[in-house]
Amino acid sequence: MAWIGEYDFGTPAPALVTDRMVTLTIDGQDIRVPEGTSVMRAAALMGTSIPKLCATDNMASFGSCRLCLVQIEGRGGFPASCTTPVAEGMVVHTQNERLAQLRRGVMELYISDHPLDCLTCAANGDCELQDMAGAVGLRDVRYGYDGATNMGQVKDHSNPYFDFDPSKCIVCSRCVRACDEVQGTFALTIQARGFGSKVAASQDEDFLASECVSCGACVQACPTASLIEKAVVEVGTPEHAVVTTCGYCGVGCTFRAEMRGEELVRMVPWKDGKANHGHSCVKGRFAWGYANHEDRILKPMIRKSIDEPWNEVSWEEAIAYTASEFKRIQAKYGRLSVGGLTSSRCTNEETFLVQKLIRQGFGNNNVDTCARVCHSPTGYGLNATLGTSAGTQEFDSVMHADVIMVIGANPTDAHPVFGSLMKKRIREGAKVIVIDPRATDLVRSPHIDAAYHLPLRPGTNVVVLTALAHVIVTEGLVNEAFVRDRCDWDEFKEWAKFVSDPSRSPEAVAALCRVPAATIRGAARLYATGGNAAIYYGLGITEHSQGSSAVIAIANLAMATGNFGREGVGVNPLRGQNNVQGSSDMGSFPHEFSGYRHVAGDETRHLFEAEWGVKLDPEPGLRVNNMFDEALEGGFKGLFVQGEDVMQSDPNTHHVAAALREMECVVVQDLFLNETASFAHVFLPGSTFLEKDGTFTNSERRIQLVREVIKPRSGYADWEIVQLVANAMGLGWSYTHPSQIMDEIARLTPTFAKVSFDAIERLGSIQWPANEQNPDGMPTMHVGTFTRGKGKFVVTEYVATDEKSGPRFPLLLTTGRILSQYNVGAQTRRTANMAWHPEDVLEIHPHDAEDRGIRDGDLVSLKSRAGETTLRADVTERVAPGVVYTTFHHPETQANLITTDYTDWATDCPEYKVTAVQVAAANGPSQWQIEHREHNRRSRRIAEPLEAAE
Amino acid sequence: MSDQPDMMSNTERLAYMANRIACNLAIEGPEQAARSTAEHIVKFWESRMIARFFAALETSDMGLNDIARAAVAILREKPRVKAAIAAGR
Repeated sequence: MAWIGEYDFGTPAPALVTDRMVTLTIDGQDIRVPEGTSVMRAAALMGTSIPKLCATDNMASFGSCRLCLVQIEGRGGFPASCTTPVAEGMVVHTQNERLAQLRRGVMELYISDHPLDCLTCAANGDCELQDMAGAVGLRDVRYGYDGATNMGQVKDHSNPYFDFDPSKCIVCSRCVRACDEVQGTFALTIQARGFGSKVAASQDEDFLASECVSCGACVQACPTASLIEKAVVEVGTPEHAVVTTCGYCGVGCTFRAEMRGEELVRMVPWKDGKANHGHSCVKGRFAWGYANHEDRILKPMIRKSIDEPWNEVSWEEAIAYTASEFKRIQAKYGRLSVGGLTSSRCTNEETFLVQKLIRQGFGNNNVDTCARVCHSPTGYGLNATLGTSAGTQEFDSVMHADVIMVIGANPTDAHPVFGSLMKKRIREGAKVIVIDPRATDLVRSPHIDAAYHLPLRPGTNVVVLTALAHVIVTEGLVNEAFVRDRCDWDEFKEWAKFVSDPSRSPEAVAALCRVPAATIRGAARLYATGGNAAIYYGLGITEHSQGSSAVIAIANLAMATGNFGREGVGVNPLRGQNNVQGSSDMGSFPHEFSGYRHVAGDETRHLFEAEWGVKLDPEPGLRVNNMFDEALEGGFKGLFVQGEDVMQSDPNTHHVAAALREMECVVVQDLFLNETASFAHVFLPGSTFLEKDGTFTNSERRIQLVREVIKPRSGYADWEIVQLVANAMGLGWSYTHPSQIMDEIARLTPTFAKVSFDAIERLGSIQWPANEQNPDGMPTMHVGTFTRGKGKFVVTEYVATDEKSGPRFPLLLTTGRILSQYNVGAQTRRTANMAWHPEDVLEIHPHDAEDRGIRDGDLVSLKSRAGETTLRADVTERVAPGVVYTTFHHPETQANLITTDYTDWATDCPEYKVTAVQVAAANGPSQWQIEHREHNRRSRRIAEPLEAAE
Repeated sequence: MSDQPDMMSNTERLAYMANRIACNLAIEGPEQAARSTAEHIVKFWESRMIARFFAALETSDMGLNDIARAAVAILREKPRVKAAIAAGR
């Protein structure tokens, strides 16, 4: 596939950034390039495209196709320009009679063993082989076509998104190299030799059965139609593109949405994407078909009772009904009886408007977001220690790390493109420490072998982090100069004394956390002395009753070892969703305005009051779990839910269901009738990320543009719908474009002061804070000084969770994500990604399985004090004995039936990662599953429209 | 109220939250921990949660630990808490 509209320089820029420049002459023209640049790239920089087939600029040069030969004065032969570095004074000729002869000869050989069906080939017009045949002036193939060929081979259609036709393969190895160098999965190889050489997936299996993760890098790399998207085969090659940002995970990949007319043909990762640099995963690359799924609801619907079918109505009626219901409820039950949830899938502008609707329109602070249930402890912990509620680095920083510590995160599954970048750095020699109950791919996978794996018992994060600190302090590994200069020394001494206590040594806690003392000591020494050391963490840290304490403990470690303020270090929370960072930034929490400023602060509140023309409530509002509590007390009756599915994603499902039933008006603004919609009274059909303009903010604090690719199928983008509701409530909003909303955000939020759509267009993206001091943003934070001034060491004592395993529930359940599905699966379950993960399964260690008479694939019941569900068993040594694991992508399983009501002490983030359970063989679904299936069936009925009488 | 016998009632949850805050701040020493616990509740708890918490305390000690109990005494003097209690009556 050619890079449509994007130039391919043939080989990457030199790996080592250097000031040293080299002057050479190419085709009579002088050019000056950095030392280490290839001749091919140098020629490309001056506008000369040397013919090539095996070279492409996102992979190291390979020198196999022999098409890019050049002649260099003073040197013999005809070297490949892709593998030849420039030299001072070099004189290169890229074109002469001899070179033309050689290139034509090479192309003759390629074409002699290639189908000549260009006119009907799916890559016609988008084929580099075709281009090169033209570039070298190939007019005939003297070998003829009667001899043995590799044509007529069986095509592999197994992958739901792309086809592999071996007959069209020219064995350039680009796909193999892409899988190795870019993705890091090593699923492909060139099997056999010479004429028999062919691309093989895994052990010569079909792509679907192989280790291929369907990232699409091989398809992107393929210069012919050998690997090609099924969509291109069916629709045709695209002819224009819109650059936009992915709506899946917190990496925030940018894509070219390639179109044919108004039809989206494919999503191709954008080479200039600052977060992804031209790479993608199966979700962003291929799994966008949910936007056109038959389940998509495109008309507003209302109903008086959740036991009635839905009635399709006009937008006017739905909006008017929504506004009138919220007014009625407030008139009857009080100002505080309603609230809303912003979406971490929607844009910054849309999120800002929802919290504005609630604060300005409802007159309270009952707003929350899904960050509550994932990274709210990050906000608390990093704010307390460093002064900013966000990660400290950009993704590229990992390429400067010598030691990478990954705690409670599984980036190769949940942040795949960043996971690939991390694996690249590990292959370059960085050491990795994994702290996780499971053996994730970062423990051991092709070319990855963790230096240390600490498979700790769920619930003991703070124990292990404190033990690491114990080693660092007692063995004299503290970076004292950094601590004295950058942190509060007295607070450090108090913390150092605390962690040094023998009761917190690795030897003392090994039995509690189930990690050998030697492993903890080794990991601590490596982190402290291995060079630049970076910590990456995820929900395995935050979703605990001491989530905030664990975040604080991580910051303490990084401060103690001086790992802040430059590339290759830092504390990096891996935010799960495409805009969960953004929704947090936008004031979605009940106690904070945008920019993390408390609602009780007069100065901030008056700023918003002046802008919005209304008095605002200075009291913190209800968090989402407290909204449910209050609903059961009778004091919370109306909920506006934009782009969230609390019935599936929030813990303690029975409690959520009971609370939603108590409400008199639940408004769901979403794409599909999800689990929460089963309890809703108004459904407002929302828009996908393809159908709107706006911005997302990824885990790097990077604000990127989202551009409308297709018109909103329901008629309105999500921000327009919120404005309709607001105006029906009398708020008089008049936004005509999301850029105006961002301008308002910038006026009100100091860390966004210099952010605007124009600035983002100009710069490509902006990492906040973007203010007077840093108008173009700040990739690396806490350089020279922490945001709060001196870094604050905070003592974190281990307080065991109240969730205990025992005779009734002897195992501990932890939950997580898988690559092919995304969160509650609302999007990915409606795509062909179902081929990889059609159901949630329970990972159980062989010993625990055998104790219970469970075999691989058996149906099992999973039971806790909260509830019971059934799912299939996956017997594996990935989990330690005593620990079981599942995902939460499928509502039929409803993993959150099992999770409890324990939460993080500081933020109420649910303790998803520690649930005491029992597992037993089952012979059918649980009672809840049966009843819920029926409830959903009934509540998703849509009444036939009534015919008007004549 | 949800009908799960093993799950906390709303009032029990408030006690759980107060105790957990207190336990995690206990390392500051009992007096400072009590002040910090009180500050945390004032900063993050919604007024009806505060009102319900104090209403429950009128009939039971809610199983609060020492620091949480000390925090309650501090909270009673806070204007925001007084207003919440009054509104709840």
